[in-house]
Amino acid sequence: MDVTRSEFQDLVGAYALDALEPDEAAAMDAFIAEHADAAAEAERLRDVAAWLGAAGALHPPIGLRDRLLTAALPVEPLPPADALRRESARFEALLDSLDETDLELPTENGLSVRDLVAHVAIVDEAFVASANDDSVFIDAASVEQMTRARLPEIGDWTFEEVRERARRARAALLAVGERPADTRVGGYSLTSALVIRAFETWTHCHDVALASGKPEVEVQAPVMRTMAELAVQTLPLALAARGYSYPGRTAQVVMTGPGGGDWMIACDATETPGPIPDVVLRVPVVEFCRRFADRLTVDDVPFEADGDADLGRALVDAAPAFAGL
Amino acid sequence: MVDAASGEWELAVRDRLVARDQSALCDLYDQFGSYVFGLAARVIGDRHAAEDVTQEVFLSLWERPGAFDPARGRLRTFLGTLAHRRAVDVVRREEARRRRAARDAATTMPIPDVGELAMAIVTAEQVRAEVNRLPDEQRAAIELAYFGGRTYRQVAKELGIPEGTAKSRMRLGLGRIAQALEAQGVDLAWT
Repeated sequence: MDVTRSEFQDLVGAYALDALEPDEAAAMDAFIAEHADAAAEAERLRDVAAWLGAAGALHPPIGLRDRLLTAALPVEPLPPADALRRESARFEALLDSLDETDLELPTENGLSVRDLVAHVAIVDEAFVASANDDSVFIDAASVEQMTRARLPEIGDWTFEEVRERARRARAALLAVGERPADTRVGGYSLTSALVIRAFETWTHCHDVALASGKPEVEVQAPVMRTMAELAVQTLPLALAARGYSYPGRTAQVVMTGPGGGDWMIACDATETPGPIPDVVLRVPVVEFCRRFADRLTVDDVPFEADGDADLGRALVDAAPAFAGL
Repeated sequence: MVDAASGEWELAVRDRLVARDQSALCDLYDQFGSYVFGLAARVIGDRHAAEDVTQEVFLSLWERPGAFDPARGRLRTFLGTLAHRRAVDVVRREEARRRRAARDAATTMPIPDVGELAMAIVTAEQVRAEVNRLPDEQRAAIELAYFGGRTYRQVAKELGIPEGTAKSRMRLGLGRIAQALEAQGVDLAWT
């Protein structure tokens, strides 16, 4: 909707009190952005509104200051094996809370809850089997293929048997994590392989939570940060994989929220980032990682791009280029 | 030393936030934490939700300090607007019953923060006096909207008046307060 001058006068009091409907507030924002005198009048009434609230100042609880500062602190990524262990524990806790009736519910990727747990086990086993085998590259297509091929093996297994298999596979993968740092797993560096599996566990944990309606334990900020690092590092290759070409371009990616961070990346994987970004992409870290896992569409991701808007959107569009099941 | 109530202080703190100086976040919270928390608690009526809103407001400015433009207004108004909008979002998502119960519980909330009140006391008292001088119908519309988190349509329904009347009572009431304070030489933006 558009706002006329007389409608502005009509609505400005309710606007200053945040008492408009969302479409009216958006129209007022647009009108005010175009008219300095209207902006001054709205600000004058907002100043009054701000003082209405000042008489009720209250001591916040003592712990809130510390919580705020902790949330604002830059979080360092974890050693990948720690991130994988923590996500494994979170996934286990959610699976513990499931009822029998939850097991056949369909999840986001089409697999039932039960088959999704089996899928996690099957892919973990493939990563373990590929350790130091340079001929293997586990990509999205091979993950899908191995899952379809091996799911029938667990056809009549109980859920506890499926979970036990998943636990054994995860323990074996964590044992691979103890090997020398130059070990290749599934075609990836050892550290990348462990973070990829942590990322997949985080994604499927949310899939199960959504399907079952059971709450999941909140992900820890350092785990989020570890996964965000992987997502950012992958972006230049993801752009190329999706057919985008941005030679000589630099993006600053600012992920907000606990576990977020600030990165400068070259948009061409063969280059190094320049000192001044062509775009600053701001996006909540959780939503960006969900996009990376292909669980959100571009339009579902609340991102802002300052500068080259097309490049900003391309980064969000390309993010899930390597996402599998 | 820069006076914390001055525009110069606000500019300096904004620049420190841009430079990722965490002590600026501490200073900002110490200066406005009581205001933001008090406002959120009063609108939402639930101290836990008010804590979340308070944290969101300060983190939001920490993550996007450029969103505050000193040329367009004061930090108090900026933070108050942000806090109020988020608090109203929370209220509108809540069921009325739950909100009422939480508000009753909130009557045992902490005592006012003397430091914050001391800084703001003169202006806040003047604003409160002017609110009390408003015709009852204007005061009721403003309080329902601001502290009750209602839209003007909901205000109209609750008060049994046409929507246009609800809107004009809000505008006239706020305008009257602004005018009265300006006549007393109070510059709301620069107090």
